Amino acid sequence: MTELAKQQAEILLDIRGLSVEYLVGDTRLRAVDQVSFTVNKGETVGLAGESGCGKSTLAFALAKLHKPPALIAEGEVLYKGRDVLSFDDEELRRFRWKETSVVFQSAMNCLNPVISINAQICDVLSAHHPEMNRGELQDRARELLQIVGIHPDRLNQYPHQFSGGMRQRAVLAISLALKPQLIIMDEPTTALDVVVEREIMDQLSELKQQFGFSILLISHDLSLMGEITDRIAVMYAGKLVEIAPSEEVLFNPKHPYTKGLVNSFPHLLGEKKELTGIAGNPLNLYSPPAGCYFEERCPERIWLCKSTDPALITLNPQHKAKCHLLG
Amino acid sequence: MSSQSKPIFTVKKLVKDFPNTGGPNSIRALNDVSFELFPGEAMAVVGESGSGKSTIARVLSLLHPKSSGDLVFKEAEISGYKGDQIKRYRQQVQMIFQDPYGSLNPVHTIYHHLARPLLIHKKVKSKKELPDKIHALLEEVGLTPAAETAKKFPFELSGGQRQRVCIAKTLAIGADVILADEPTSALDVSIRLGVLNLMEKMKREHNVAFMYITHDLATARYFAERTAVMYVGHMVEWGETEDIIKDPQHPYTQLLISAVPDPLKRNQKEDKPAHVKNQDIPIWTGASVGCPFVGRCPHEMDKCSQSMPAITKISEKHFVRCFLHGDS
Repeated sequence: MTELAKQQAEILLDIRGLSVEYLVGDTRLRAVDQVSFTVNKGETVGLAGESGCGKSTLAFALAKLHKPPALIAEGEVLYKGRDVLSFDDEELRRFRWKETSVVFQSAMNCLNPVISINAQICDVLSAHHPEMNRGELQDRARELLQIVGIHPDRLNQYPHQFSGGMRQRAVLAISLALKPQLIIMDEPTTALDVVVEREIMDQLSELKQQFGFSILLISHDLSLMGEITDRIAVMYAGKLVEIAPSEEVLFNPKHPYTKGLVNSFPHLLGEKKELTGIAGNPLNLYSPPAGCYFEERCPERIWLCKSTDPALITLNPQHKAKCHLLG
Repeated sequence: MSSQSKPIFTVKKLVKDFPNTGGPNSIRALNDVSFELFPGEAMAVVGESGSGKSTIARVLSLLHPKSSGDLVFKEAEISGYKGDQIKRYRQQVQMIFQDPYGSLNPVHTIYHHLARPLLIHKKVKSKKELPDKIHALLEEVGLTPAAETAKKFPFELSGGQRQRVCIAKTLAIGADVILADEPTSALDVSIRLGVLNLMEKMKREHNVAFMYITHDLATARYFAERTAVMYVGHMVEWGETEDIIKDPQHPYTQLLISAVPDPLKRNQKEDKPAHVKNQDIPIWTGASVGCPFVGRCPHEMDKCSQSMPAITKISEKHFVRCFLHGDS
């Protein structure tokens, strides 16, 4: 991307210093800690991390879908310049699904089992377009199923009559119903077989080409992200530890956690080599350390790491990492 | 490696049918499956859901009876085993399951989980020997400090740690064969390699034979010397893992390999094998005919719906079941 192009890239979603906490008894657990990054128009951004890193909590918070005991401690989520977190119910209703839709983990299990797929799609459509009549709703529902590769004759079937992959595609269809500008997907293909996953991701890429929406793809699967994202943000224990263009993250990572994570994926192609993953265990958020959250497991730690939490260091305008070794 | 040693387990023409409650024909979960397991070596069984890969493990561990075929362990057919024979068999052929949260009893300590099999299979002469033996086992699987870990309950351990306890159990009893059913799929990514490397250590140091069931071809490449590809209960291609991955012969294997995400594919706009998309995977019965991949295969010919392709030898260790490579 040229400098000019970068400057002209329109920012769609601007997350600024977002922190989300869980109230557990008297303790406030910081599941997301001052995370900031953007998603530009037409971009696919990956948010990578393992279980407990806070990525799903973040996903919920972005559309103000979090519920107690989760609460937003600080920060803003600017969508086209306006803070979603300050929207009232009516503004939220207009924002959700029309501007941004969310596809959750195991979304296939989020379909209402006692209502037909048709009814579920039309439900979303009519809620935002009360002016559409029954015929128009049905036509649009058929169109959506076709877009995701499901035969429109299956419109009146029930979720249990669809396979896992088809249910996921049905959810994708619902998420596209109102032509959103941003789709947030949380582990969209985790429960699916690799061939089905490939079909869905290819479909998603085609749809993206066709409709031009942005995607925030949240997943632990760096291999998948490596193929389809423009930039990747890596989270660990609630903090953003590295963000850079995807190729940089995968082939030239700077943060030791990112390096460890990248080296946790054996390759199918290329040279076969011995890998180690990352030693140790995930951080206990109940008693977080004073210094760097990754220090305990870090093979490159220095004396400073135990006492002081590193700042997010800008290596170049596109690449930032939170590590003392880079300062 | 495998050409030098004798197989410890031989499976010949294994068929497994399940009754189809609510339907006429029984469901054929495994059809004519044959393979061998060698000490100190891993064979990966790769396939998607419904391929039958877990069923193989369950039949081999005597959880399900076979419908037909030969199951020969240490030169003896296992299907007729009863009572003590089963107990001895289960000592030598063990399973590691996918769900590390389900395979440990939540009300017992780790100590208990290791003590029990040691006592049942008389691996210690008296209870006094237990602490040292248990601590040694925990150290061997990387669960240190061992004494502290032994006192814990499963809920106090992470998924990866629990899986290590399951591996320690197999070591405690001294398994010759381990049937690992997706042992790392439910674990965090950065933890998986630690567990895989531990399994590698058991292969090398204890000469254990592994059957490694996975849907992840990349870890199959990492851990297993040989790989068999399963589709709808059939073994469609098998051989040395590197050969299968670098030179796949069966259209389904080619599809599987093209589907696996790999960042190295990012800049390669390779032609993906065409296949008929969004098809439901068929259900196989005793009455089904032809190749199971009919309906999805880009190279389908008339004879593919008429009869099952025979096994064709591609090279000394590489085999495939496909009419593109040989006639029945």
